[in-house]
Amino acid sequence: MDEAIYREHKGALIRYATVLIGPSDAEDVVSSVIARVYKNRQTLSDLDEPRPYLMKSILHEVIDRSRRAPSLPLFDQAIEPRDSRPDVFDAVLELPVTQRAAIYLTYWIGMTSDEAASHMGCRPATVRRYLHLGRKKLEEVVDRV
Amino acid sequence: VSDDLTHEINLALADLEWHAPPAPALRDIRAGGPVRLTAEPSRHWTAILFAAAAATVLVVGVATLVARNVGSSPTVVDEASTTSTTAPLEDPLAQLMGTWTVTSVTVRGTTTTIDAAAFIEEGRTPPQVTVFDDHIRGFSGCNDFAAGGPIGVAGGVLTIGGYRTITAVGCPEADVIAVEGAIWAVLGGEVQLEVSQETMVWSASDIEISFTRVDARSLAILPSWPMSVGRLDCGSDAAVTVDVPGEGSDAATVLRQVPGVVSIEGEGVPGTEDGFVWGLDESGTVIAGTAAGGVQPPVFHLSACAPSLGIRPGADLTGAVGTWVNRLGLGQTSASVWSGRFVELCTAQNDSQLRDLAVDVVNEHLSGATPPTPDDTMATLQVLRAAICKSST
Repeated sequence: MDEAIYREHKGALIRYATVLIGPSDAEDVVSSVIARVYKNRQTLSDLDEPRPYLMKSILHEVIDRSRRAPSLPLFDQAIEPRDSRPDVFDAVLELPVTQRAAIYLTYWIGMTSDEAASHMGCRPATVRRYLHLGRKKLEEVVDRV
Repeated sequence: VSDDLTHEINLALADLEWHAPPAPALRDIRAGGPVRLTAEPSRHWTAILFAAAAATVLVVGVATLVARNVGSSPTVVDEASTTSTTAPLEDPLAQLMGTWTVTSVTVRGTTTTIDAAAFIEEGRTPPQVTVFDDHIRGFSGCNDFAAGGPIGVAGGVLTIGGYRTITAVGCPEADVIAVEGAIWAVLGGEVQLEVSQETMVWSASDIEISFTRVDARSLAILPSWPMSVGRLDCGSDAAVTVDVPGEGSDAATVLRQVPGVVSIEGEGVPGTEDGFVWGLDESGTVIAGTAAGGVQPPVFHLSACAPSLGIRPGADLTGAVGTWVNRLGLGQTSASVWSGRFVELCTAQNDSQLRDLAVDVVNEHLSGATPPTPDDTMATLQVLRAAICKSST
């Protein structure tokens, strides 16, 4: 059962972790979150809604790491854009992690702010504030050319 | 929010997501961490090249084995033995997993036929979808799209629920517009599904989309790996990618150490990550390539064909990590991932465990490359297992 649950969600989790902290640490973040579930519950089957719970945990794990080592960049490995504008790509990387999470969940995943809130562990109004702040920064970069 | 802003943000997010590594295996997490077979690669160039050579012997040997078998059969395992020893698939979605090229779309009675071969001849990716266990991703011939959350098959119906998203590049070609419109219309909903080993048809109200399964081996093109050495084509031989320390060196110097390279060409901005260089042999064929600039930490991702590395059969396979196998479709450059997979491969107790590994390989196939089917991967893994697992039968 646990294998099936994990298999269903692992792709989304590793992609989300990569967006939040970068490819170098994404695997470790996902491992830490899953390991913590096992430590506390012994199984993934007890989770009512695994996807929101695990994605929320990933965001909090990344925030915790950035607080523990504020001087270290979240993206410690240089990564390159493929098709996007380099300045926009860099601007997305420079967003605070909560704003990047909100924009990823709503823009790329297509969630409503209510859905994103349940995946981030905050209120919908907070998600909308993150979106507003993040969009404002990215709009400045996009409009620069 | 303007369309331009949304488009640019989505492109950046797609690029960022594209760098995702394979997810760790649950059994590794529960055991306390990923399995590591070998130490970090040596920082000495010759040692790395030796490791690459050893790895390539393995790859060439396997490629030869596969090539021998491919002549008479589409896979290296005969159908009877596969059927008798492989556990039945629990999830009907599993038979859809892999990449499918669009062959035609019919919208309100008007059919548009897609000639995938023509796209490939022009160096373009044909319209296609790749089915994963939790989402679908694809390319319309112009735009990238994705949908999921979750997907599943029941009673002949494919459900692609939850979300759908697409980039917004303007596309002038009528056939591409037809494909894009038809696919976009069914993503996020349900379609009637007809599927066989080689073909798949999605039907929904007045839309019908037909696909044919992509044979990873038949493509024989180097997928767009992160450093985009797109000119490197190793034909029927294997390509190997190794990390080469770049401190105190430059890309041209690294390439000149590959036997057979007599000239260097490049493009982009030398000394930066925006540039690419490749080495040519006397006939002008590209036999190796790498990014022109270093990355942090300074490392060159050198890709080269087996013959250009002077590979001879019978070398020791010790330290064989970090292979990137061209023909076999196991697109994965990470040495640590391969180390873990070698352990899993050689300790698998039965075909069911081997199939789990095959599904992982397909799921964790590097984005941007064409994943093989689980069946093809299973066959490849069995050949690999026979080649490298000494104690296995």
